[in-house]
Amino acid sequence: MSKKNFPRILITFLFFCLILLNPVLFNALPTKAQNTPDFLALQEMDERGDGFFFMKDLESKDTIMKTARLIRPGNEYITGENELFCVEKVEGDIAWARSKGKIKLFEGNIATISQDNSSLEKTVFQKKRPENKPENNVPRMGVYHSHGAESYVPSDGEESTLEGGGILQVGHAFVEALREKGLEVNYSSHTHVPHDAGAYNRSRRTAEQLLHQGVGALFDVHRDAVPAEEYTAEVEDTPTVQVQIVVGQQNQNIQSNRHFAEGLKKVADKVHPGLVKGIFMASGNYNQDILPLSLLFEVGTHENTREGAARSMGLFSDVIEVYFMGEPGKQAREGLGGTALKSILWIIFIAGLALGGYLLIGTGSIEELRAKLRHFFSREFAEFKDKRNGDRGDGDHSGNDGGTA
Amino acid sequence: MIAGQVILLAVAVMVYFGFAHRVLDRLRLSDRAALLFLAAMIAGGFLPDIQLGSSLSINIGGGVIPLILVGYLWSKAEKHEISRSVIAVVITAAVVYAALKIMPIEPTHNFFLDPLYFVALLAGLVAYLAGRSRRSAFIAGTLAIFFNDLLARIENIMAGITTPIAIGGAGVFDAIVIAGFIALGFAELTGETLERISLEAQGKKGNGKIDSPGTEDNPVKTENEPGEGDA
Repeated sequence: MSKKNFPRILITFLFFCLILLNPVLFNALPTKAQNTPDFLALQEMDERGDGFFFMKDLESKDTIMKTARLIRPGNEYITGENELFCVEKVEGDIAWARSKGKIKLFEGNIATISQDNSSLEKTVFQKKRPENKPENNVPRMGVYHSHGAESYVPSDGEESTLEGGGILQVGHAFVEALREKGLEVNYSSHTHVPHDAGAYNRSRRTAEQLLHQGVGALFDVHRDAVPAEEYTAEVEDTPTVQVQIVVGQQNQNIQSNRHFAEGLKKVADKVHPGLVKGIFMASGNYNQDILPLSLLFEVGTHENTREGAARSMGLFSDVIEVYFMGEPGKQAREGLGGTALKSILWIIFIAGLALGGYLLIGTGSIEELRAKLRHFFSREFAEFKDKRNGDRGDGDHSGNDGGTA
Repeated sequence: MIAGQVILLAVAVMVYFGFAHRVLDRLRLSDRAALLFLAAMIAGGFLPDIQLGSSLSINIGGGVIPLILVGYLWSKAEKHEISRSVIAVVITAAVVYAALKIMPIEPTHNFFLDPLYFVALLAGLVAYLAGRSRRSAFIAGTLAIFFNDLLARIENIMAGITTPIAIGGAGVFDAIVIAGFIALGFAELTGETLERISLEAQGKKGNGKIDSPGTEDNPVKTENEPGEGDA
């Protein structure tokens, strides 16, 4: 290597070292939970063995929820009682969140349906079940597991099974329940191991392949890693494993997916009250940029039984059925159109901002940027004018290459 | 899906394709060649994967076409540029492999970005530092993910696991393609900023070129070169 290249190589080497040390450095920060970070233990950070994170109310100091997922400022949580909390700061294992009060879940006219479950079943289940065939506008569903190695300790004996964990059986039970209701479902039982940060990149391919098969709604089925009590509640007087919905914040579909999650929770609160534990708007993408109807479900924790989790997904299939095949769900889905249009405006705004920033860096000043844009448009419109004139037969422009080169 | 969602998807895809086309434009490709590669990636994503063994396959749009593009770029590059980008590929692949192993599995644990974007940015930064060229950044970003897929398959073989791995299986939306695009976009932004700072420092105000060369010794031609449009 020449001397000229030495600084470059040194910087690359230092950066490489920084990346290697990244978790140690970040865990040494005072905001992090671990007491003495063990390098090897850090590689299993998705399922903390030494504890979990609490979300607490800034004012009352009450615990709102526990999760093995790291909570960051800016994350949001809708509780089972539909109270919205926004995380403001994180101190150690505790994420302090401020209550924004009780919210009305997504306004899709579901609020106008009867509170009486029996009448709901009459209008929804009995009307559809005899035919056992979905309406034309009901999307085909796709179910997969980004972390197909996840298991349930009481049933499977271990937290993770590389060849395929208990989560696959839970997903399979969900799929079977949906199919029994006449819904069309495509299922992938790929595990996407090795169990590393590339798992979502690999499961992205599965999600995309499901999309090519005509899937219009995607569900990624997982389990959490906190004590079983956190995910256990009485549902219709029976102790039941709860389901938490996770919406990724780092993608353009967040609003659409969030409203989809809220719509499902609203239906669940009426069909099987208590089944949905809450909605967690967490950092990350979770491949939810692929489709505006894609969600991640946490079905219980590693301490719940696999059988209990499978039963819960059977109940959750009722929620999906009502949402997609019933009148209330239809109204909610129609409401998602407005949400999508707002997202479109955001995409255009952000893309414009990014383009403007890039051009500004390239030109160096607003004056130059303006001059460059003026030149660009005058050139493009001149060509456009030339073409129009040519069409009218005012002149022969056969030699016009019209390219941007 | 309802109309609003279809439009949302369409707009997002158009913005992505627009970005992709601009990125490919930066690779010494003509407008037509850039469009051809982009169209091949899109169309290839819908074709059946090519099996490379019992548990390994490669998608045409997300795997084969990016590899062809890398080969094409190398065929157009000078010898010293090839050796520099090979070094960039090796370093970037190693950094990405280490990052994937060290970074926590859940995106919630990563300090600011989802691994999909973080790894791509990482590839862009490392490749730019190692190769100081936008094309090197694209090649390194693309091949880093490709080699990491192969390493994942080797790990599975060693563990006796037969779960399938589809290299580039998500077509034009695969991590391989996204990493290449973001790496180049990031290198472009870094390059533009550094060049701007350098110009300012030299007192050469104004006349900054948006289509300015990638490096001091590695000019990026955005004009069509004879015969390049038929790549």
